[in-house]
Amino acid sequence: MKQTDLALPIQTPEGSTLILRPAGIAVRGAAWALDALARATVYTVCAIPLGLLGRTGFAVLMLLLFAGEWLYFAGYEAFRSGATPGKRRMGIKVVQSDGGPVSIEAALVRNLVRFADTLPFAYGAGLVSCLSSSTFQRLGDRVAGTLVVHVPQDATNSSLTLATRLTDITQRRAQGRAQRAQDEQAENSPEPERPAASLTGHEAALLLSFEERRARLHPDRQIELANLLEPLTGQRGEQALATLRANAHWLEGEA
Amino acid sequence: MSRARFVSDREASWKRLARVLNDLESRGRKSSALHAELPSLYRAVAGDLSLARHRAYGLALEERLNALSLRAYHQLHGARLGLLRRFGRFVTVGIPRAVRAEGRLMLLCSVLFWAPFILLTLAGAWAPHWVQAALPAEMAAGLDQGFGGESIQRDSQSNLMMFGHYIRNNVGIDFRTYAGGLLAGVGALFFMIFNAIVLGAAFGYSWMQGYSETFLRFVVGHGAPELWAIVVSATGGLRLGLTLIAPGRRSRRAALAEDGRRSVHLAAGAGVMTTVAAFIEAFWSANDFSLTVKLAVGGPLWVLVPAWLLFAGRRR
Repeated sequence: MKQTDLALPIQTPEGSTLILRPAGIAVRGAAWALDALARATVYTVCAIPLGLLGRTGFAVLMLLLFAGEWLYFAGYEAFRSGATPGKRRMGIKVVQSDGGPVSIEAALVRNLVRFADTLPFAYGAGLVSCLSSSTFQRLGDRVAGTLVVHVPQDATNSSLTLATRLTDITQRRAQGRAQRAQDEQAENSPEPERPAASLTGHEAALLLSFEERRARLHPDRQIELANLLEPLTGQRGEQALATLRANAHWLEGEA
Repeated sequence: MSRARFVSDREASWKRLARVLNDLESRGRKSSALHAELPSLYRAVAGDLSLARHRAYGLALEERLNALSLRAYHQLHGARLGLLRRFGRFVTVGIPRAVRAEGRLMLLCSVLFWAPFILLTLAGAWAPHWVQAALPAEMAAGLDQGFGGESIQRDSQSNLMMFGHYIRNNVGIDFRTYAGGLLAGVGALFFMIFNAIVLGAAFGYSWMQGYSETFLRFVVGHGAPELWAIVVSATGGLRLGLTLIAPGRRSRRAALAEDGRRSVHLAAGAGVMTTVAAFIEAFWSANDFSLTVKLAVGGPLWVLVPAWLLFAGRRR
């Protein structure tokens, strides 16, 4: 089956295969814009008190501008697990092309070469490089051997203790809600019914995914999708949907 | 085994791994008994991921286990210790070794830098029209104003302010020279030779105008690290460009990644040298000591910097 999204498999030394999802230029552009905004805000906020400090303030401002131009990206990427604040907000991070965390040298070189990416203007060379690479690598990424990937969903845990405690509370509330939803679903869930034909593993996974996603789909859409499997169920409409759900529950519990 | 049974069996282990990872990510590597479980938990979840894929348990479960595995992988393989010590070793030994590793390119860049520089300096005495052609008018005016009188006049009295300015300006030049190397090395050479010409013309101009002593008193302190830093960063940039054109027996992508990470030591080294030069330039060079004092302090650097690059860190 042809793949429609970009999933990069990597082999770890432990022998398992992990999937990375490289991020495209829209997300990376948005992250860059957020970072530019953050830096501009810091410059503006600092310029006022520094302006009052006269020449010393000017020196500090110059150093601040230098740090913002050349060291901001490299510093965050090397020491804050591969993500600047803008990248963190957009849910992406920098990793090495073998899947491991980005090293200091790699973070430094990819951001020094950033200057070449901005030529001839507005990241022209970088855009061309991203679009011609199979993994959206700009020039800095190619030279450093890094990738910018989406952060896997489960990894969005905050690092502050207070926030973790809050997450616990909301998690418990959500669990209560989930429990109620589960009970509701248990009432609505149909009797498990074996599929009319034997399915390959991939097809079984599709059915399970359909049952998982079902709640987020409009009822008409659910029926539309169920109709596609008429050769399997021999039914259309609400009946087909019910049969498919029954099949999915059979696969879940007894396959 | 059904998916429901699989999940209920293994959920406890995954939750435990998530707890260990949260702890590691928030509190760092302060050792704790909890962290000792990471390797075995990681192997377990990697095995579960393979099982889930093989038995086609659905995308949601695979994504969740994939995310857990990736986080654990990063924690296991991301150790970085002793940053300050590493930096110290980099400055004393790492930069010269990186420079010598690119010995031939360094030689080429040295020649391409010092030749125009020395030629234009000498032109100040013997062929002044070259100096006038090479030196921009504003720079000539600035030199006249700064060094034309008896003592060194710097337009701003604040040393700290000039330090900030020099850092931003000069280190920026080095980094741009390095990055310019990607344009088949041409960018790096262009920046370097351009700087060599202009700086040499400045020297020559001061000779031409007759205040070379005042000018020398200013530049002799910081000249060595600053000028050699330009050569080093151009060497790094040239390395990048050459790898792009001639990757040898490796694929272009692999060659660039390998050489890129090695050549960044040169760029960082140039940055360090220029920072030192900026420090000297800002806080020492503008002081109005006599030529003898300035030579006594700054002269040794002209010997030390090349000696450091040539000999420091050589293994017997």
